[in-house]
Amino acid sequence: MKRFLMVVAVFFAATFVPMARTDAHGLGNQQLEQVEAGPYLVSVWTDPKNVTTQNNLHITISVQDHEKDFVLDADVQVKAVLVADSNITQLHTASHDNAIQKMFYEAKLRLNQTGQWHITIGIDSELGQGEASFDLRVAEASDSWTRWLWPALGVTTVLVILVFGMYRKTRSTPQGS
Amino acid sequence: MDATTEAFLRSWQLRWDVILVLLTLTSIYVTGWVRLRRRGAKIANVWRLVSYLSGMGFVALALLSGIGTFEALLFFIHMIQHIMMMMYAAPLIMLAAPMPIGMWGLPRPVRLRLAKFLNQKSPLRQLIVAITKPGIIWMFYTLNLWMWHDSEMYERATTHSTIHNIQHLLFFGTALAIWWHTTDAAPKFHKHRTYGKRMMFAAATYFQNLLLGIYITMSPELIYTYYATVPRMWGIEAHRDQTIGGLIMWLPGGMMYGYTILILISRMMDYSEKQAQIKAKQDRLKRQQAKGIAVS
Repeated sequence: MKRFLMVVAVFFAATFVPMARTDAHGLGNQQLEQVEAGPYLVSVWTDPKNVTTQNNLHITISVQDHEKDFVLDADVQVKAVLVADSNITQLHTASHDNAIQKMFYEAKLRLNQTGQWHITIGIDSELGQGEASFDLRVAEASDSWTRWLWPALGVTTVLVILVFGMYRKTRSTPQGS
Repeated sequence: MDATTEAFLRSWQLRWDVILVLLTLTSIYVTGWVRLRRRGAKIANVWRLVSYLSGMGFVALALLSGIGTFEALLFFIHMIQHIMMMMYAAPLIMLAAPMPIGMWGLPRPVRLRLAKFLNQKSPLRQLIVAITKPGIIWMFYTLNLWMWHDSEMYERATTHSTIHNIQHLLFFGTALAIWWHTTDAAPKFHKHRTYGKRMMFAAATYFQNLLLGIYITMSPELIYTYYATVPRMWGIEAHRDQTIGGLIMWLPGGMMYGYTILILISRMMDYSEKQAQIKAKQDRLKRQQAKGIAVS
């Protein structure tokens, strides 16, 4: 029975880890809402809400034409420039494959310098070229307790079951045996 | 097929938290079903297995497919998701007798311990009976459903993953409890529920669901303003999307309770007919006996 409970505990602990990462819908903080960028209307979301140097930044981009039809065959580039030092730049391609909702484009970045970053979204398709941008603050990686909440809950569950099982075993073992 | 529909069909999400839970619960149930089937138990019939697997399939479809990922963009897709979980998955799972069959999927010592915890006089069972009385469940289900459809609560759930998971767990949990009473599924912890009582219970649940559906459908204003901020799909504007969502809640959502009431009426008529036949037979026997006594 204890072995079974252990397996169940480990299993539930395992479900806590992805729960910590899974966003409600894969969108996040809205940075741009239907902004005109040349022949396109662009919406952008960033995830997580508080960007730090330690976590990955997901940028989800919606590209529509002025008729509000989705443009699905564009080449979408994400350029990030540190405002304090324009020599520090990153360039990434956003694609449908990375996105959860497949008519959006998504890029994954790791901005490893704190401070203000200027993010530019460049779009190119047979409709023409367009550009939209926004600023994003990247904070120092913090040891926020919430980051560890779900994994900690998982580990605690396993430990409690283990200790309880060992305690029961000690009590049920006859003295002197 | 247009490109947006194609994108919708391709937008599956690999959520390991959901997959692990569904796989574990399904393997426990299937193990129990196979064990009981080998022993020739009538409870482990094929339609129950199909019912359970279909229920789990609905949950997987609602949370992992395009329905689960596009709820962020369309209100009516979010309503379809909730209806799939509460009106289709929950009754299918309850009809499959998950508790007795699932218990047989557990290792023997765990099963025996659990049976001990749930025996008639155990405090745990008494607690379960006390907090799951039909009136309490109906109130909790209704409050829960209406609370989450408040515009502020709705927005919190759509933008915060943990709150959204809690919302889904509460919806599904309360729906299971509602269908436990409506279908009279095992374990039968509560007093015998007559067809009439079950019909009234289903009707009361249907009524509040209907009111909420009508309120959302008829609302002249956009209640869920979040949807005005996201790109619109298939050219459906936010207010129209809300009206469709309300209609889905009102009609297909309510329909399940309607069907249930019809099934219960038919069962009740069958039962009354059988009772009448038994009574007629007993009366005939009594008359025959009386005649026999009179002759002798």
